[in-house]
Amino acid sequence: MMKIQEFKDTFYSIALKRKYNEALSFVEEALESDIPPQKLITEGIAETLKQFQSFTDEGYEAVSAFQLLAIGKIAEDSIELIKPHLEKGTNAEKKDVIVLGTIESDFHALGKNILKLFLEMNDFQVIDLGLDVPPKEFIKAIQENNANYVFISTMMLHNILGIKRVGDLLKQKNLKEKVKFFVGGAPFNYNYGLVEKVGADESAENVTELMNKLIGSKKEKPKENEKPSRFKKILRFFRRK
Amino acid sequence: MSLIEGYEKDEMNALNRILATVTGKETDRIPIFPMIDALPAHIFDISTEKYYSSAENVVKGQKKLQELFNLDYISNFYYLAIETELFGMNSLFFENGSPNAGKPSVQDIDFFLENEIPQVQGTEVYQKTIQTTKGLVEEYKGKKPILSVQAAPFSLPSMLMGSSEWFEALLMYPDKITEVLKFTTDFAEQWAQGHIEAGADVIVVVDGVGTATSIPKEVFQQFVIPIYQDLNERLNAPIVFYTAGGDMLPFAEILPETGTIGVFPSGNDDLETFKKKAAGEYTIFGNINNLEMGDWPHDFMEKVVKQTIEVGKPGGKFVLATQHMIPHGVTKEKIADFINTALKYAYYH
Repeated sequence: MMKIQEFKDTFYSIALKRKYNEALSFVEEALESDIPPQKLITEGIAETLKQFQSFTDEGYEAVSAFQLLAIGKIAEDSIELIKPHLEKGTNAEKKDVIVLGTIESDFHALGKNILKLFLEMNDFQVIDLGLDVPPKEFIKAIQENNANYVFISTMMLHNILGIKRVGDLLKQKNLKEKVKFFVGGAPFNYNYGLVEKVGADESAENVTELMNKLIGSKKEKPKENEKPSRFKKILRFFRRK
Repeated sequence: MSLIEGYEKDEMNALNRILATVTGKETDRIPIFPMIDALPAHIFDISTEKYYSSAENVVKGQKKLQELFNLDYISNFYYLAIETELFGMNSLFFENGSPNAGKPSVQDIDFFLENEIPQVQGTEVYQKTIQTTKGLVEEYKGKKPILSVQAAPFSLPSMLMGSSEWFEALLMYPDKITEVLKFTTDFAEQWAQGHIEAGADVIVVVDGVGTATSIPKEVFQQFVIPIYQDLNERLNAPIVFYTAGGDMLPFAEILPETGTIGVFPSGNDDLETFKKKAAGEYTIFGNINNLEMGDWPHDFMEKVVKQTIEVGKPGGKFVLATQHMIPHGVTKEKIADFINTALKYAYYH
């Protein structure tokens, strides 16, 4: 009979190779075993995700957007297979509420979708507003869902004006203290000064950095002199001998 | 009136300079490629939508850029999303930025398997780009390299379907991908052939999705390399791999398999390591941070440009370039500062 360790190792190995159909067949096989379905999620799939998240710590050479999306999608669809087998009341309580979307005129879904998968796997309740979202819609969703966070991404530099509008509206509606404002996407990765310019609190270059900031933010504030990792890479360029 | 003070030491024209650079021969200096798109629209004080509405405007705009900067290249580039208009998509125009692809029109990967490629000939969109190439050829052929810029077969589906949907298709239907890429390669060939016939010298293939930022090495080897090999067979013009700011260092050693003559690494890629890994097999166009340069005071600009040239110049096969298009907020004076500074360090003698 299959043991949880075997499930964990095999699922990780299949996911690493991005074998979607094989992964789902293997989960179906595991559901026939004695392993409790909840354990397949918490000790099998969630552990695999954690391992992948840690990949991003090794730098951009170790992981690509496709790899992250693939593992996220495999995990999400595997959990969907397991869900009907869970006993009622065993679902973990969702943590904080996050409003997520790309800003108006931006149709780049990839980063947002990867992030959504990983946030949900980490038990955050995600309100996904989708693509091309006007600034006011973010504010409306924050108020309606009593959200703790708003995450906005863009791939296009000129769209940061729309993101700044969200920053301005958060101030106008006195939501700044209550809602933590994260921004992401290429313009912020290559020019970290933009984070402050749009009135955001934070930006993160990858999933691990984001999770550390999200979970860490409840415990302690980031050190004042701490620079984001992309910035460190740029600094490193100038410090070379 | 030119904003550039240098160039007096030039001994070659821009075309001969780039030809010598990519073939590893001696040149007077490294070529300088600040990548510029709609700056002329702002100079002419017209909207980007109006600017891109006619070949006449874009040719006039390119001539204006030459008058201001005497660039080492001339380009027929409109905006990447223009090709999606032939698939029924609407491009979005902005006052302060490059046009972008609108809502995706392809809902399912089977679209590529069940349909013929749209015929570009005779369409207003394509004709306008061809007229642009012809207009540039008339003025600059033999003097400057004429770049024809277009979407890569591997990246086009991500604009037509959405990047998440394209990656989900790669994950869930790997058996269908080769057929999809045959469709997009046929389309890319069709787009490129007209421009080559019109006189374009180089095909610049924009492939942000084909970079290490987006895909792992084995996917690059399985799908992206064969596309370029195929395109090289089909097209009678050299191809440059334009990453649009995507990281490329992890693929630097296998890039020669694509047959492309050059690549634009991202600002994040370490240029020194890139040079070593390229080993003179192709030309590196790199890798000034286009997104930050607008904020750089002159001293910092000089520091970055000098250091980049010091790393890239030895051994040749190097073009000083921005990693991607310079944002619209960056002034023409700042671009001139970049070029003037580069000219201080660009010459070999």
